[in-house]
Amino acid sequence: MKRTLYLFLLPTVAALLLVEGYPAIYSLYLSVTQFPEPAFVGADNYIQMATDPVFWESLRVTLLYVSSSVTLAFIIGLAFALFLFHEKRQNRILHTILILPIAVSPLIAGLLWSPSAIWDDINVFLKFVLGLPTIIMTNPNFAMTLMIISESWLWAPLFMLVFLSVLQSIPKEILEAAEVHGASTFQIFGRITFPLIIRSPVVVIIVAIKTIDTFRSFEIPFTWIGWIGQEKLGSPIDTLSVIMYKMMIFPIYEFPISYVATISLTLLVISLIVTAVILRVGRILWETT
Amino acid sequence: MVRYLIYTLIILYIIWPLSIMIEESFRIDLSPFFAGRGVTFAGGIPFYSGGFNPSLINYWEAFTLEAFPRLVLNSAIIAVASVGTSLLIGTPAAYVLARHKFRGKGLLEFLVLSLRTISPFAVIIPFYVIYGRTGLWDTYLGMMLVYWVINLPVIVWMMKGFLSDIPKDIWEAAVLHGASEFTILRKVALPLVVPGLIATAVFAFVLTWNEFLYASILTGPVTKTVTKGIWFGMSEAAETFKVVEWDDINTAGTLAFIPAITMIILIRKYLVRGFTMGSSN
Repeated sequence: MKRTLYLFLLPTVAALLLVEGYPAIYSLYLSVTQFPEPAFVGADNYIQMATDPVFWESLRVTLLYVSSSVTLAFIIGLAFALFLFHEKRQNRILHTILILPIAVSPLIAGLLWSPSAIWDDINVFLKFVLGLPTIIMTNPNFAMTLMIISESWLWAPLFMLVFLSVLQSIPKEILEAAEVHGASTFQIFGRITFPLIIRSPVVVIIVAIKTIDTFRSFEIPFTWIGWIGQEKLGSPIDTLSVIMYKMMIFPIYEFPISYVATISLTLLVISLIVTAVILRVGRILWETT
Repeated sequence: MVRYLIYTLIILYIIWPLSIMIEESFRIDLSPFFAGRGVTFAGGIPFYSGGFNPSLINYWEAFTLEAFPRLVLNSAIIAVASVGTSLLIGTPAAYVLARHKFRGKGLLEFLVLSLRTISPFAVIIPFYVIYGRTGLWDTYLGMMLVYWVINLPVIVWMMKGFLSDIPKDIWEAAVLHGASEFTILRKVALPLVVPGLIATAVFAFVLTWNEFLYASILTGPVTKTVTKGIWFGMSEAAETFKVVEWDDINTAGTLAFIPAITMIILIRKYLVRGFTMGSSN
């Protein structure tokens, strides 16, 4: 019996070791050598990274991007879920519409939310109809805001689905009892619904997973490179993944493969730490139910 | 009243970017409406300054002049191969994780989950280097292997979730009948989770279909995928930064979007489980 079990597990373990374990170790090796020479250079790459202002700036941008996107997606998803939950009629159509963004490739989302798509129309509207000055696309703050909005556009439906499943698992009697006792909608939400949502393990997990995913998010910041910064490394909207991409693609940086490996490993550690923190906070919330 | 306002806002927010993509691919330009002009009269003749040429010419071009069918074929081959093999590899493992306890189980679960956190860049550079040396760059086999990175963790966790739903009595009954693990997996477990299998397969397929980063670096003229084609143009040659060609982007985007959304709508019920890796309540 036992042997069959290990046999079942073996292909998966082998495959994962092959495609993830080996490259990860190879990355580690790359980060302590100077590609293409196999000579061991110790922590040189790490020191170079720690003293590189581009790295810290881009780390700051990444942290800002992650925290804002996840928070916004959380809020929007919650709003959608509450709205949908209280809508009895036409539930299905609205529900289908609301999950559309999940099927969209992040690349497409980035393109659609970047200047030439909806923003031309909005600017035209602002200028010709309202007579306001147009929004300048190359303003980094504007770009950053938009990137955050589009990232949360992609994932808010996901949060919504999770919240819906939590909402649907609340026993009706509790809500009805609260109403009978004269609680207002806000009170019901604040004292019953919201605490239940925060304490749900699924919610904590989805927040953790999406946080990690956003650390690695690449496509959306990528679509803005043409508008702000281009090949320049220190652009104010570059997240770490974009920085690494630029270094790899543009020949003027001479393909610092070892350096990029170093950064990617650091990014991995950072995202693991942040996730562990989130899970810890989640566990505390669970225990105080 | 407020409800309808909220309705409109929500639907606008979700749909508007997508609708622009779809409209423009049919060469319908609605921007004059935003200027408050719409149809004006020039010398007594109605004049619409946007391009309202609803035509399929973009699509015709995509299918004949450009290599779009080839891109679709590539994306499909890669996705099917990668998801198919991942299912074969991952489902037995999910079965074990769902049913049994053993030493190191926690560790294994943690590994599978944490591998999802790896930044593509940690993996993509070794792949790029190694594939360059072994000639796997721009091959279907190479891409299939790369997408295991994405698909295997997702599939193992989703299938584990579905398999855990099977009541213990069924397992016990099968054991009492003297069935081997292999038989149980094949004849008991799998038939019971067919919907879950389909949902998992579809979900992983959409993930692979929409993926950009690995495709952009590790494919070339032969295996260029649809998503890469959206950015780099639908012809076979890959270029770096080019002038944004909106016709191409919108057409390819719409065409890429349609299969994805069809599949997602079909597996709606299982989406939560997919994203939370099987830990639904």
